[in-house]
Formats: sequence, structure tokens, C-alpha cells
Amino acid sequence: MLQSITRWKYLLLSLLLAGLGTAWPRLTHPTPVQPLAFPHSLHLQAGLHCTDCHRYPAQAASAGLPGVQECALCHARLRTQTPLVRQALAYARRGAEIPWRPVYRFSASAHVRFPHNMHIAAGFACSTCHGDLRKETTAHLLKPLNMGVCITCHRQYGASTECQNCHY
Amino acid sequence: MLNSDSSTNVRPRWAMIVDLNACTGCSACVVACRAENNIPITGPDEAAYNGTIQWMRIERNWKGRDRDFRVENRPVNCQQCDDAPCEPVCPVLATYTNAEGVSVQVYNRCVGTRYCGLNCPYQARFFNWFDYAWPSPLDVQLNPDVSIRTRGIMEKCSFCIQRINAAERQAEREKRPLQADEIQPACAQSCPAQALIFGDIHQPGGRFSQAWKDPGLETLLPEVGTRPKVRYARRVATPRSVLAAAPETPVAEVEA
Repeated sequence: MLQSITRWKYLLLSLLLAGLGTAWPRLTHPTPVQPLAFPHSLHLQAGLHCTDCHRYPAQAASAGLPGVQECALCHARLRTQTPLVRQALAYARRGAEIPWRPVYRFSASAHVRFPHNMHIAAGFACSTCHGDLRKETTAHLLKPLNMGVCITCHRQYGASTECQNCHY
Repeated sequence: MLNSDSSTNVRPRWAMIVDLNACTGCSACVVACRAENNIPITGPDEAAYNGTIQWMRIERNWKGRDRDFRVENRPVNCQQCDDAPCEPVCPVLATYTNAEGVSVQVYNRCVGTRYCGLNCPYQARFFNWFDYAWPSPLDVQLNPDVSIRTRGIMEKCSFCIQRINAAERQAEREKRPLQADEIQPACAQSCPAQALIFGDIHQPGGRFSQAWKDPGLETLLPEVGTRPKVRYARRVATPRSVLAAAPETPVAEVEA
């Protein structure tokens, strides 16, 4: 009797662990709910390019996030009555920024830096990591941001795998 | 690195010469280092336990006696040893000398055993006993290119590895070799007397690599055998007793 109970416990525990293992990436990196469901798809289909708003991936380490005033550059006159644009313009009128939730972000304890400019210089497209945003509204994490993903690619293309190359 | 330049096969080897004749002990390097590398202020309570964090410090040494008494200011940072005593004792390989001779600390790998700090003969390693805060508006001054170390991590001078990486990457993107004087750590950049000279030992025919070979340069604690990559040019000064014994010349004669 006692034995069968412990067996059940082990079975439950192993099931729990297996479930946790599959759900782990979603638990640690859940897609954050944005304050405003920015439709990447519409903007890209309208003929805009990534670098029209995220301006500096080729120049700087950070690709840059446009402020709401930059949204207003177009949307002060363009499609001013759609609900999302009205929300964005309300932020702009208040002089506030839209509190976007970062999707692609390393944890502070990873102590790691990702220079966008080096990866653009090496000839990678934005979509290699960020996926095809012509089909999506808000961004979601396409690749798990763990060291295995980085190292696999760095080995494949002969880039440095020294610790201090990224961790400093 | 990607597309590494094949014309310069020799990787640079970074080193520093400290000219003790020039150093006035103004501590600009200490402040610059703190600002550049997001070094926390640990506060008076921690300081009482010897828990101050400063990657660069000025050691004041009182030399001589009586009238020949003088002060020597010696900037001391991580000596970037070739045979670093801190490295073999790390159980998780969180510190190692990289291909360019910089003894690097890998923060995400560090588990905080503090063996390295105990084994460093120069007391150049500092442990984060707590998560230190930058209350607003001090957080605005944080350098985005440098990690903010969290509790339980050892840290030390990195020869401003973020600047080395940035310059190397810029050169790589522009597909040109790295220039000799392109990189300066924050301490050397801020030194008004130019007492801190940073350079590449491997650069052929360079001024720095020539100066580096000067047998007059001394290292700290040579008996430990660490072979540091920070060398000091000894202070040379005429003793005051000799000066006092020199025949006095009337000021009018000097000005004439």
C-alpha cells in the first residue's frame, strides 16, 4: 500500500517536472501585453521599412524605439480617427510616452550586451531574429534568448565565442 | 571576431605604464573610473568593513625622512597579471586572461566564492555584498555600456573592456586595422598630467611598445611573480637635503 502511494507520488512529480520543462520558456519569457496593440503588419504593408521607426540598428548597439512624437509625425494628419491612433495621440497630447513593454530583453543577471550594428554589418536581416512582422501585430519572442541560441550562431559563422565579447 | 583582419595576425596585448613622476595624486582617474564603470558607493558602514569598491585607487606612500621626506602617489588598479593568482582559484572559470591580455571578469558566471579576491596580492578585486542603489536622479549617470553588478559578484578593473570592444568593432565595421591611440580607458583619458599611458605591447615599432621594454620600469610586488601588465616609472627627484646644500644664487642674478 505504502509502496504504491510513493510510486504515485513519483509519477506525479515526474509529470509535473515534464510539464514544467515544456512550459518553462513561456513562463520565463511570456509575451507581454502592450498598452496599445501596435500593428506592425499594417505599417510594413503600407510600405514602411523597419529602420523608418527603429532608426539605428546599423549605427548603434541599440536599434532604438521611436517616441510617440514620431508616431504623431504621420498620424497628426493620417488616420486620426481609428481607435489605436486616437489612443497614441492622447499620449502625445499629454506629453507622455507610451509605456511599451520590452519583448526582446536579457535579464539583468545575464550581464550581456547585444550590439545590433555588428549583426547588421555581418549581413543579417532583422527578420533572422525578430521574424516576419508583416504577418504580426505586436512583437513576440521568436527565439528564446538563451546562450545556446547565441553560441550556436556564433560558432556557425565563426564569430568570437570569448566570454568578454558579449558579457561585460 | 567576425571578418578578422588577416593583415595583422598578431592580436594586440593591452598594457599600461604609470609615470610616477607625473602623477600628482589628484584622483581624477578614481572619479573617472567610478563614473565610467558604474561603480557603486557602498557607504560608510561598508567602508568600516573594508567593503569600499573602487577599481582605481591612489596609494600615498611616504618616502624618506627628515628634510628628504616626500610623498609618492601611486595609482593602483588591477595589475592585469600574465600569471594572475586570481584565475586558477576560481572554481567556475569566471575570470581568465583573454586573447588580448586583459584579465576579464565574467559577471554572469561568477558565483561569489571570493577566492579570487583573497588570492589577489594587490587587493584589486572587490565583492558586491549587497545590491547597491542609484537613487534618482543618480541613475541617469549610469553608463549603458557597462553591466550593473548585482549582489554576490566579484568585480575589478577591466581596462575598460567596453571601450576596447567598441573601438575594435568600429574598426571592424569600417574594415580597417585598429589604430594605436584609438583606445583609452577612462582613467588614462581623464589624467591631466598624462601619467597613465595605455597601449599595445605587440604593436610593432610603436612608441608604447618601445617604452614598455625600458628596464627602469618597475612592477608592484615582483617577488610574487605575477608578471603584471601595469608597470611603474619610478619617481626621480632631487633630495631636499641636496637642494638645500646647493649654493644659493640671488634672485636678481637669476632674473637678469
